[in-house]
Amino acid sequence: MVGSAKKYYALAALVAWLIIVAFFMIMNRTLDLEVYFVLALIGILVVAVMIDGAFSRPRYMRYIGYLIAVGVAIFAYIVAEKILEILAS
Amino acid sequence: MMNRRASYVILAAATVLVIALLAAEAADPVLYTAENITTGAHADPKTIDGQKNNAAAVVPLMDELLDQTGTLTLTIKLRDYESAERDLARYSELTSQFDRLVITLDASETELGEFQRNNRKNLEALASLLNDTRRFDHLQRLEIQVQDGDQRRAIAYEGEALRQKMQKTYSAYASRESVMTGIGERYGLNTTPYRESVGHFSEIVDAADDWHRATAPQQSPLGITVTPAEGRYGETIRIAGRYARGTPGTPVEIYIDSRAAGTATLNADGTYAWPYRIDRVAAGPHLVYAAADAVYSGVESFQALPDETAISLAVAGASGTTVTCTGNLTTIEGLPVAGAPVSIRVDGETLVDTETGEDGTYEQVIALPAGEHTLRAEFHGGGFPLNASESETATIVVRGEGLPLIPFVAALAAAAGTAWYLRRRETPEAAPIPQPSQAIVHQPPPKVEIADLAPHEAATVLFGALRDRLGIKKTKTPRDCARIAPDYAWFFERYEQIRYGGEEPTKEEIRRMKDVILGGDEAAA
Repeated sequence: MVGSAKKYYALAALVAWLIIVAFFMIMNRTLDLEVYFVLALIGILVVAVMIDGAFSRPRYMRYIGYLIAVGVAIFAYIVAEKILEILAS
Repeated sequence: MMNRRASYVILAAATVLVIALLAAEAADPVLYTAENITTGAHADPKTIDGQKNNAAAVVPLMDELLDQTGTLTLTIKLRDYESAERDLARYSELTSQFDRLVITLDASETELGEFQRNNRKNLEALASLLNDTRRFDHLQRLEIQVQDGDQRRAIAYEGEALRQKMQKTYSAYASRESVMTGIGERYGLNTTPYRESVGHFSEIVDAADDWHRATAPQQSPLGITVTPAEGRYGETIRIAGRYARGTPGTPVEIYIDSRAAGTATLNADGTYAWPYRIDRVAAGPHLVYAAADAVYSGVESFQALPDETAISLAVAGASGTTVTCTGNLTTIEGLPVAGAPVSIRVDGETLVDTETGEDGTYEQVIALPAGEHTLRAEFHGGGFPLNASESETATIVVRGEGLPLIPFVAALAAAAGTAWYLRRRETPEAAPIPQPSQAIVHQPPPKVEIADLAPHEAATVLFGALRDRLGIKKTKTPRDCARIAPDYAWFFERYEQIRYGGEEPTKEEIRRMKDVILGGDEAAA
């Protein structure tokens, strides 16, 4: 029961983080998917570290691992693209 | 069970939908910025503020422009050419700023647009005044130095040509006074500097007239006529005359705006004729004179009339990220305009310059980043007796060169690195397991009091007691203990579930665990 609650708290925290990011991006009059994605990924990484147990690994943690792997791959793609853009200009 | 499956299906569908929506925007990830707002329903306050600032900047800029005309003509009148150059540069910069502002505010059809067009003409007139005055000064100095009669005559002729040109420029400048001051007064501007500038201009031209009267060329034996007296781009005017004293075959140099334009030959009957095609000359008056055997004709003039133009643009995607822009520039009558500068405006900002060929066509290859782009060809008319024109706006989507390799490799490497890291965490390095026989030292059963404790606290006390009884160190976790004492593995695993899994033990379980502590080895397994 405690484990499931932790899962939902984590999800709530992540959603709150995403809403905060979107709010400030709109306040700043720029809504850039790339920046939003990177900030969302940082949120997922922090939440994953916070809910990861020291001795046990629930199944949802393994799923988050796959999600992080995909996120990091997209992040690497964006970073490499930006570096190429800077080098080209 | 059914509900669970349905929720998974809904989750998967929602995920696919979100990914599809995001993927559509991935090529152009900037979804919204204050600058690119175009909807009528939503206006961003920041954009509106910007427009307000633009509108507010118009009046001070107009004031500064009028002010600058007074300063510039005064410095020219005082022959302070260094300051005049600076003032002209400043005036030119302010004019460009104003031009941009009028375009930004979309006010070309209003009074502001009229002010802008007249101001542009004023800039050209004042730039021409500065050059002519400087040349005039130079001629005056030359006249003092030169003693030779022919050279003195040449100077007098050029002086006359300049004087006429300045006179015409002045008439045009003065004719704009009422319009400019009228608009200026309606906007509450100080028009005094502009009125003063007209006065200064007049004084400069009068000074040139005075000099001319002192050095006026005599009636020349070399006659000149220009027919017709005006023409449009591509039309030919005939410069002809009679030179009674000349021998047939004598070359007659024709000068247009004091520059040698061509040579005619004197015929047997003492006449000469030279056709001049109106081509690369600005709209407005131009002065013509001829010279043969160091004899100069009088000065005649012709008017180059401005003509409308039409420019076309066709865009074709070439390869990868380049597009080929082609088109042609003609006068409104369909006459091709050769050697004219054409600018291609990309996305309303960047300008790429090219030039038309002999047949009035142009071709330019432009490299563009992937995405949608708008292109428009523009002809600004500079140096030609032709008015500016713009083509229709063409829109093209550049596909780009597909997925670039390096970011793709980076993404794969990152994914592989993350997978390796996660797998490494899944299988922690096995700690050396002490041999049970070496580690376990059986102690006498300890006394445990758990009657008043809550079930999970009781389990903790029992775990500590068993650990002590087996002589296992206090630093060992339940999992370590299960490895060290496999016979009691069920006890430790159950305790782990209670302690870390948050499960609540039953009274029966507590009793069994207590039995293990008290009952010794037979209770294990």
